[in-house]
Amino acid sequence: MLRPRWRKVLADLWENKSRTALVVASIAIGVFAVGMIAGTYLYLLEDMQSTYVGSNPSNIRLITDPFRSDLIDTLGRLDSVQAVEGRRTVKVRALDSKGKWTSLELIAVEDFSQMQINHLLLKTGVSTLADQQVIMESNKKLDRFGAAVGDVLTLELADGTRRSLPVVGTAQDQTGGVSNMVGNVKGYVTFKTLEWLHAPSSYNTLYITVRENATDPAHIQAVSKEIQDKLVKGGRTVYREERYRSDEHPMSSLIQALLGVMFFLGVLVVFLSGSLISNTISALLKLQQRQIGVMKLVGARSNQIIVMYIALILIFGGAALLVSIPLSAQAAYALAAFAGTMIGFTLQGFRVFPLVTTLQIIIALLVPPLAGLLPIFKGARTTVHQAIHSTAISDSSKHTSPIDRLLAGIRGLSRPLLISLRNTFRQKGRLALTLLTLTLGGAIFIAVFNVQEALNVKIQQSLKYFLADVNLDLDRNYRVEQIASLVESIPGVDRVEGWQIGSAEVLNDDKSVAGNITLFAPPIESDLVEPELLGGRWLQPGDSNAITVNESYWKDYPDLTPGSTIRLKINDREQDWQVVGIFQYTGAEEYYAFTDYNSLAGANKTVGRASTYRVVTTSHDPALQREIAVEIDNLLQARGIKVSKVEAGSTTVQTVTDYIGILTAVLLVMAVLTALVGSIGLAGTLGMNVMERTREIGVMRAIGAFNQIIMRLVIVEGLVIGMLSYAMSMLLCLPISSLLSNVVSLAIFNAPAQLALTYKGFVIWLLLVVALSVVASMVPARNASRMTIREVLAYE
Amino acid sequence: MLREITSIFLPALSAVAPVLQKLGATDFESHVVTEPPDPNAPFLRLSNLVKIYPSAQGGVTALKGVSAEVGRGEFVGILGRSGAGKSTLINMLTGVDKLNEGEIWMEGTPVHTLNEDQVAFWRGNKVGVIYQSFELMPSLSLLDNVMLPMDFCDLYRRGESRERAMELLRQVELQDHAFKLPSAISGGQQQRVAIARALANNPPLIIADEPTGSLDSATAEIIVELFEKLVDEGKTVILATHDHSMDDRFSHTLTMDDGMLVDEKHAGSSEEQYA
Repeated sequence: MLRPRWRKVLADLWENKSRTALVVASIAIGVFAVGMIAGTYLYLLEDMQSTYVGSNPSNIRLITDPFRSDLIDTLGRLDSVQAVEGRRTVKVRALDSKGKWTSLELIAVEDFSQMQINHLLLKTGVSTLADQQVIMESNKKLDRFGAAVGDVLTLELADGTRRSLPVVGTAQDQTGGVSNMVGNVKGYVTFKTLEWLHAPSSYNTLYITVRENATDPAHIQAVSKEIQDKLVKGGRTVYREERYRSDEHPMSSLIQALLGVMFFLGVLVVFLSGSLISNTISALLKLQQRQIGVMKLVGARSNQIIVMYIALILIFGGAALLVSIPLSAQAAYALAAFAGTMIGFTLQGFRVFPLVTTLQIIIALLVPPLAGLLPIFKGARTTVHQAIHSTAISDSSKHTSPIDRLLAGIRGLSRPLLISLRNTFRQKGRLALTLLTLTLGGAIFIAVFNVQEALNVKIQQSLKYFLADVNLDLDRNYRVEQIASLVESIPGVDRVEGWQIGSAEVLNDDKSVAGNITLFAPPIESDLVEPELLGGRWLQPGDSNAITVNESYWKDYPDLTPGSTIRLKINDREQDWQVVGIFQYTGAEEYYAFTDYNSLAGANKTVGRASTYRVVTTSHDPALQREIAVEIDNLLQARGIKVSKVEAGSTTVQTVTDYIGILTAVLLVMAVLTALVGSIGLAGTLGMNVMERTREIGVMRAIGAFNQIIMRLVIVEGLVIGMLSYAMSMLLCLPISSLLSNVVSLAIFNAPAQLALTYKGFVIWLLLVVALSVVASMVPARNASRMTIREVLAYE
Repeated sequence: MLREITSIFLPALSAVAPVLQKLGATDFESHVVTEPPDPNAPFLRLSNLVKIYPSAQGGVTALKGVSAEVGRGEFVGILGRSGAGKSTLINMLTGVDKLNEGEIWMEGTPVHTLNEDQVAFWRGNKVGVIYQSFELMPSLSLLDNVMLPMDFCDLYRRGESRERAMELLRQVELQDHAFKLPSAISGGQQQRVAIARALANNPPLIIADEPTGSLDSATAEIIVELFEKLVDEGKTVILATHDHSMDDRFSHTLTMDDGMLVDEKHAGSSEEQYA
């Protein structure tokens, strides 16, 4: 049988169910958030890493000139190399499920079922790939493309031939990372199929694993250099080099940064729910001051009372755990599965992580008692005299603060409005905690929209280097004049620029390869680049072999200044290029450079020809861009010109912004959770305020205040708190936006972001906070208006 | 999953429970420091009690040097009109409020020296307090209300305290309502529960402040009879009232006016007049 004191604790819980529900909900939200994020983190840590490691990821990926199997054998014999595989990637066009021609990357592999490096996880269909069949890479892009096992793809080859290729399976590349979201749809075929598709059957990509220290980036780099030197000595050019640790998924740093931000927000939610608990407990103790006095009167000591109320809080925490543990486990699984779909890994089944549950138990049973400790100690110290002889209607006129004096000085407002205003500031400690909760919730909510904006600005910044309305890639070089006159004949097209895009090797003084660089070469007078210069100048008419490089050079060559020269090897020819300027790109680590069309075409020996075109339309409307992209495709195909890809500029932007949208949507979930705790805090505060003023409300009703007036008093009070918090959120969101933008931008672009503000978050939060304030005050307001005079004046 | 949760949650709770129990446990000896009672000393001795309440206009002296002695088994009435200082004196006697000057000794215990926790424990063991407004715990049944002092002071075993509480309710003729909440019974019945609660730890002293003030005369009579019965059983009862019609019921009356004891009378003895 329970002792009477514990019966009282349980009765206190049961007596005011809405208060219990609010406190339990606020703890549960914090515990849920932490559990969800920690659970997701562990899923990613265990499943993403294990599927990545299990796929035997390549440590080095090199794109080079075509080669035959003897090179694979040679490299395989190197002491530092564990395994080598060769593949070839070709681009074709395929009809998607909506009947639109889409770029498809076909990757030829020796034996699909025996792949040693970067092996794929079969999702549907068969694992044995025969000739003239394709196994599609399973990811979001395939979902959009719309191909499943049993479908037959219609392909158009470079020479215009059409082929039908049955889909016999789908498989997941567990090493792909971000390429699962952006880039082309991919499929795997045999080399025989490649021949059937009129493509060369030689290899052009090397996948290499190192024998030792596969987790050491320096060792991997050394082995890569050794191999590249061998390739260069053999007369081959390396166009692209990628290096990976075998124990760390390429996306893990990004995911960890995002989870870090989410975890921070989760901890903040816990902190906010702690402030709500502090508020509730102090209100509860105030309400029960008389009961505490009676308990002391009959022999209770302070420590016994403290234990009773700590037990009450522990029950709140326990109830919150029962709700939040199963929910957060499900949410973590769903979030990890979502990440798995986006990044490309498969979860190894639903599970509850004891570590996460332990963390949740610690938080739920430790944070609330800590938050409640101060009010409990204060309440337990109440003397019997104070408790038994406290007046029923508190008289706050004795202690006036500057705010009270300011409010007392307000004239011209209606009496009920004045009462609401003054009521708002009566419990200043409680008001401060409520404002803190709601303000932080609001600031984070607004900040998430600003983060999205900052990332979009970042994207827009990088897109300033590619301002075309339509981007056109042809399968080979064509005469610029020919393509320009054809495309410019389409109504709505203003002009066309032929660009050279190529790659080169950056050479050190000792002629060793320092790295690869991607070169963009628009016509010198092109206005489709709006560079942001960090030093020097942009390219000018009259420049020759002049180059502007991105800021990542400064990381490796801090002494690089305008006027320096760098040695590039383009098409086996070494040449010095003069750096005239350094531009701000995304902050990514890769080397990028701009030069003028004539210089690069000269180096490539393709003067007057180009395979990449930038089209400017008369209007920059996205719909017109898409329309013209289709028209260009149709016209060029009709003229026998093979188009690899034609895409409206807006579509490119959309793909990237969609990606950003996914990231910010995840952050928004956390923002909504903080806002939810904020609004629970507001509802709790108003409920407590009403409960404490029960007698006062009774007196007002006795002197003629009808239901509507009582309700309005409470709702206006809620709105005043909501608006005050909104004003403070507007200010607080600025540093939070800046901090979050930088963290997320560093994770995505490897570069900090500039603070950007958008009206969206401000407007949506304004509407939400008004709605929340009204909704949160409705229940207390209704309760207040329903009380009969007899009830309230008899209230204890 | 439920199994996993409970497998972690229950051990955690069971780990916390003994700590809570320990924190809430009664440390009997350390709370009240008493001297061996002097067999010649009165049961209760008040010496020169002074209480000054601070106010904006300076201090208001509510007790101006009250001294008195009360013997065991007396039915003491503190009489006086509203504002005379009766309730202040009751608050000092029960340790609810602190004296500015003076001493209160009860059976060797210097009540005036006890701190808040010590006085709570002393009161729980030695004094049953009854107020005009009953002061029952609204969320507890009548039985639990009566058991509450026993719970806090740990003087009785669990089963024993329940039996004792039922017995006390039987004494005040409310055993049939034991499981009702206070709001379900009348004011008179609530006051009888308050008396039962005051007797929970079998204290030698019962102090009541206007216990019949909010009751009708018939109910008030029942309550006073209950007090008389307690006196007959050997308890000392001190009752503050402004109702002079009760004078005859007391064995010892202290009349207060303006914070001073103006009259003291023992039943059957001549009047003792104070200046």
